[in-house]
Order: sequence, then structure tokens, then C-alpha cells
Amino acid sequence: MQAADQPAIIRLFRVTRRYGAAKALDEISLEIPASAFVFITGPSGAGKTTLLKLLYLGLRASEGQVIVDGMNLARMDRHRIPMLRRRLGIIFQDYKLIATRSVYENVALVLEAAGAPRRAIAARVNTVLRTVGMEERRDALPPSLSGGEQQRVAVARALVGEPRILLADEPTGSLDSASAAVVMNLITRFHQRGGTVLVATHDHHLIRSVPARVIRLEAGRLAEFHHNPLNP
Amino acid sequence: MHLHLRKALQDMRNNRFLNAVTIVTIALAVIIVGAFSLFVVNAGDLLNTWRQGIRLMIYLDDGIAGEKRAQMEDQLRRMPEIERLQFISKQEAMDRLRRQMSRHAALLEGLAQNPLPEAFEVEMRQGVERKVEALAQRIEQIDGVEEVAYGKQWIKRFGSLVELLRIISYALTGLFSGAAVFFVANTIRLILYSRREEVEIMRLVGASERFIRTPFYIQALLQGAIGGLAGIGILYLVYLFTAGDMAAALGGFGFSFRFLPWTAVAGAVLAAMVVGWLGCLASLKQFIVSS
Ligand SMILES: Nc1ncnc2c1ncn2[C@@H]1O[C@H](COP(=O)(O)OP(=O)(O)OP(=O)(O)O)[C@@H](O)[C@H]1O
Ligand SMILES: [Mg+2]
Repeated sequence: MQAADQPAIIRLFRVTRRYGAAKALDEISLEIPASAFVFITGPSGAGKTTLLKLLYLGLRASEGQVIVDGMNLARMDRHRIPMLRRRLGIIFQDYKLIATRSVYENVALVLEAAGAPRRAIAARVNTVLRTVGMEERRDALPPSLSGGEQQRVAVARALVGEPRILLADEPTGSLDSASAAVVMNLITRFHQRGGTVLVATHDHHLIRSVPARVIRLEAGRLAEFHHNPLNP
Repeated sequence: MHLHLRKALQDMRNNRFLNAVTIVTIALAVIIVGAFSLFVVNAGDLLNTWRQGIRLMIYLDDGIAGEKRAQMEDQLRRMPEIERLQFISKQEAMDRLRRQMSRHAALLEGLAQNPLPEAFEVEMRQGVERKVEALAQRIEQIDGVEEVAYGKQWIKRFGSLVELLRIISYALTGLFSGAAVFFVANTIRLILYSRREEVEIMRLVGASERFIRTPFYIQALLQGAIGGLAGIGILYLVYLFTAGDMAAALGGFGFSFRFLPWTAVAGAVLAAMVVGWLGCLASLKQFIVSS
């Protein structure tokens, strides 16, 4: 892992996020180098999802600076948010697949929104669906898929735009161990190709399965930031 | 663009009922407004046809000297609206009356003196018939003119009726356009509401607002175009089946019933599309604000 000598691709400086009076995140400062693999962990309600949302501007920080891939999010105009999101691949805790669109359409949407030509879209989407093993179900609607299959589609959608950074919120949360292994394998391969990965999870098995940095949140505060060199 | 069109069509298929309701609403609005306009246009034509047949009779004051009369004749001839001018003496007027009364001509024998005034009979030039009222008024100002007669009472009445209908048709256009905008806005609002989750997901994966909205605008424009064309088409069919009968009923005026000019047809379809676009704008504004 050569991550340590890379410049930071994500930087938070004294970031606080409030919901009303409650602080979901409290003065968080951290730097994540490009091509790093990072777990964000901590008990339920610690602020993991909130932290990821700040990175794709699903939420704005109440205070502090958030910089992602050279973009200062605090000052980002809302019309430029799509530009930010096209550089990110996001796997949501609840998948967020469009129930009325086919597997293919769900994945292709990312490239259509980015304005890619139709031919290129078809080729790329088919490749990615093959990678995640979902090419047979390309015309299926998400509600007709199992949880593991939906998660694989979600991974395909996150990867199809060849993002610089992958944000994954509990990507294995509701999967059996076989499906979880498939999904983690896909994420690891993205990392090996040089991508930066942030995975929020409270699954300790998962954390120990990959050599990675671990950021531990507790009640919105940064409790621990250590390197986990163990190989599975 | 191709992609957006595909999405718009897909949306219309998925929301067939809502789209059908909107299109029917727009078509009905176009039919009602169009039928009214058709009526106004043809009533206007009819009025002009009647005006064309008009002769003005300029009755002169009693006992005007020949010199004065020649002067008047000169003045009248210089009026650009006048094509032909003919002097009708008392005697000629009496002869005409006799001819018209033919069998009852005996009634006129008992008259001690000819009570009929001298007159000029005027034919107007083609194309200026609209100005008949103004012309009559001007001639009445001339010294020595007793009265100018033409079918002024009923032409005036019919003219103001046509005018009234025209104003009503404008009001109807406004009213039904407003109603149609409202309907389109509601359709799009319902579709947006049923798809708010999808729209949210599209935003999350990097779709711009323009990318999200364009299919809705295309859909609204298509609704307008289809509704407008359908409305005009139905109106034209009704016109084809009834125009003959109506022309026959009005027959003998050398008047032919006609459909709306193509500019009005194009205008109607365009207006229907504008209505769709406005409806879409209204609901998207609200949707974006509320989301
Ligand atoms: N929309 C919201 N309104 C109010 N409070 C919120 C909202 N979203 C999150 N919170 C609060 O912020 C805190 C952090 O929530 P967050 O979802 O980031 O936790 P998490 O670490 O992702 O938890 P989990 O492991 O259960 O997913 C929690 O106390 C939560 O109740
Ligand atoms: Mg969470």
C-alpha cells in the first residue's frame, strides 16, 4: 500500500454537523490520501452515514471545511453538485435503486446523466454488469431481485462511471457471508486499480478482512484513527 | 435529446391515463375556442359580403339648385371610396317606385305633387366596404344632404354582434388556456409526485436539474401538440360534414363558408404547446421548491 505518500484526496477540517441542537458530528478533522482504503466504524448513531453524506453533499456541514478531490464543498454552488457526484461512486445503505427501471437502466442512468454517447453506454454497462455477475438479469426490475443481487447492482452503478472515490455505506449490512464476500471482492478490486475507498460499517469481521485505515467515530467525535495492517 | 425524447415517451406510456386526460382537456379547449373562432371568422366574412352589395342613397334637401347640385356631385366624385355615382331626379325616383309597386301603382296617381326627394345613388369601390359607416357619416355632413340611407341599422347590429362574439372568443381563449395550463400542471405534478424517489436517486448519481426536467418539458410539449392537433382535426371533420348545409342555409349571398386560415391552425397548435410548457413550468417550480 503506497497510500501514505499520496496527497490527500479528502480533507475535513473541524467539521461539525448539527441536527437541531444535537451534534451528529463534532469538530472532525481528518485527511484521507488518494488510493487509500478506509473503514469508518462506530456504534449505531455515531455519525458514519452523516460523514459520508457530507462528502457527496447529501448534507452540508454546519461548520468547518470539507474538501473532496480538490473541491471545496462548503462554497460549492448547488448547480455544481452533479459535477461532484459524477466523480464519486456511492453505495447507499438502502441501495436506492429505481424500482420502476430495469437493472440495465439503473446502471446506465449514471452515464446518461454524465452525457456519455449511447453506444459507449451500452458497452460499458454490459461490461460492468458482467463483472458483478448480473448480466443475465439486466432486464429485471430491482424489487424482483434478492438483497445480494440488488447490492451487486448498486455496486455496478457505483463503479460504472469510473469514479475516483467510492463511498459505501454498510455495503454488506444485510447480506449473507457469500454475498458479502462477492461485494467486498468487487470493492477491493476497485481499490487495487487505484481507487480511493471509504466503507462505513460496524462489522468487525469485515474490517479485519482487508488491510486498511480505520476511523472510529463515537457519538459524533473522532475516537480513533489507526492503521490495520492485518492481512486476512 | 434522443434520450430525453425516449424517456418522455416512456413516461407517457407509463402514465397513459393522466396523459390521456390532459390531452383530451387540451383538445376540448382547442375545439371550443376553435369552433367559436370559426364562427367569428365566417360571420365576419358574411358581414363583408353583405356590405359589398350595399348602395348608398344620398337624399338631397328639397329644391336644390342645379349649380349647387353639380358642386356636390363634384365633391362626391373626389371621394376615393366611391366607384360610381348616379343622379336620380324626382321623376326617375317616381318611375322606380311605380315599377316596384307595379300593380298598386294606381295609388300613386292621386298625388298632387311628387313627394320623393332628389338623390345620388352611390356604389362603393371594392375592398373599402368596411368603411361604409364612416363614409355615410362624412357625406351626411355635406351641405344640402338630407339623409344618407343604406341598410345601416341591421349592418350595425350584425357588426356589433360579430364584434361581441370576437371579444367572447378572446375571453374563452384566455379561460380555456388557463384551465388547460392548470390541467397540465396537475398531471405533471402527479407524475412528479409518483416519481419523487426516482428523481431523488437521479440527483444522487449526478444528474443535473436540466437532465431531470427535460423529459417532463418534452412530455408537456407533446401533450400540447397532440391535444392541439387532435382538437383541430376533430373541428375540421365537423366542419367538413356541416359546412355544406350551413352554406346552403345562408345561400344566395355568393358566400362560401371557410375553415380557419392555416395561420390560425398553426397558432392554435403552437398555443396548445405553450400551454403544455407553462403547465410544466408551474408544477416543476413548485416541485423543486418543495423538494
Ligand atoms: N435527518 C436527521 N434528523 C435528525 N437527526 C438525525 C438525522 N439523521 C441522522 N440523525 C442523527 O444523527 C446521528 C448520527 O446518525 P447517522 O445516521 O450518521 O449514524 P450512523 O453512524 O450512520 O448509524 P447506523 O450505524 O445506524 O447507520 C444519530 O444520532 C441520528 O439520530
Ligand atoms: Mg448509517
